[in-house]
Amino acid sequence: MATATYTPIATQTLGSAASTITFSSIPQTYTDLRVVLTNITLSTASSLYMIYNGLTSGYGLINLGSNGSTATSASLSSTGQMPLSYIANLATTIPSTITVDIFSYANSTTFKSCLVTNAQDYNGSGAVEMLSGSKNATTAITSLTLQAGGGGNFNTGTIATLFGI
Amino acid sequence: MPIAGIIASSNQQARASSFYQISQLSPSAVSTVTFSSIPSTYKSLQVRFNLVTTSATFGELQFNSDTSTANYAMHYLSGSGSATSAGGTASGTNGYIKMFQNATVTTYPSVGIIDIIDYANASKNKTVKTLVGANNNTSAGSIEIDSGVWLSTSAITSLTFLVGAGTYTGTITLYGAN
Repeated sequence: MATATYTPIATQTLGSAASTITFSSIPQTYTDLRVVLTNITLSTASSLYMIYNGLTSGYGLINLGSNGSTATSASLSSTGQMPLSYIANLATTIPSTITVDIFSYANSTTFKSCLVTNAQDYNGSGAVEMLSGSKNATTAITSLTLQAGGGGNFNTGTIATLFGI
Repeated sequence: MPIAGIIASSNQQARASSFYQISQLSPSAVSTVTFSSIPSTYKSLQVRFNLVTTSATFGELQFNSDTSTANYAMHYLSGSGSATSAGGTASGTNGYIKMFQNATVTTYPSVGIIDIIDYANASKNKTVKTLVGANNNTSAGSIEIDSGVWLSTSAITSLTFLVGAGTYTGTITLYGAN
């Protein structure tokens, strides 16, 4: 018998500016996680970062995207946090949307991999991008932190929803 | 505990979902798995996988055990971490839809989301979209989006997932969406 899934675990809507958004005590009962970030604007044009379990080392990524004129691909390894946008900074006024899929997050025997897609159209600038991310930890993921870059904040109205699949 | 400045709605009650887990497989050191007897009661299918491969290789997707090269075609857009590439194959080349043009990685899981639209329709060809990624925390790996077509009007009742070399271990799950 098929089981209904794609279940919203938690939603956070910023009522005031905050530098981080954290989902903690994530239930270990799903196969994958999906984080959907909408209406994102930052106080300082910057990237946005993801951190598992408070761990601040060992993240890698490969991206593929376009700034509107050129398609590019680049890689990062062993960074302290995982960028969710790499080609273009998130804007301060025009909202962006980012989706993150984290696979087999409750597995405690393999490293963690994720896929990210982002939409950042800023009327003449911005980017569209996909990223393949990794983390060199086998620990099950029990918390996720999203951090605004550049020492800035997420602006009021930013929405983050965590789904279990 | 709500974070200051956040209107938290954590622990919210689950809303009705139209996304269903049909079957989940946990392959261990195999080169092929098949979802068979897929019910025809959904509008589309999604496959999500997290697989560690023993070789840097490509993935293959087949429908209804059809291996005819006349029936598969695809396009891809891929990034290797230093370069972008795009291409495709018309029918007559591969007896499958090929994923991971720049190869999976070993040690770290290669992951993907495969969407198969209108799979139970018996009057049109079948279209597939895949988003796949492989990254071993170095400059090796890939991120790729693929568009594929199965040139058959048969309803899809089975899906087979293979790799070009070696074996894989991990989790592969089939979902139905309405």
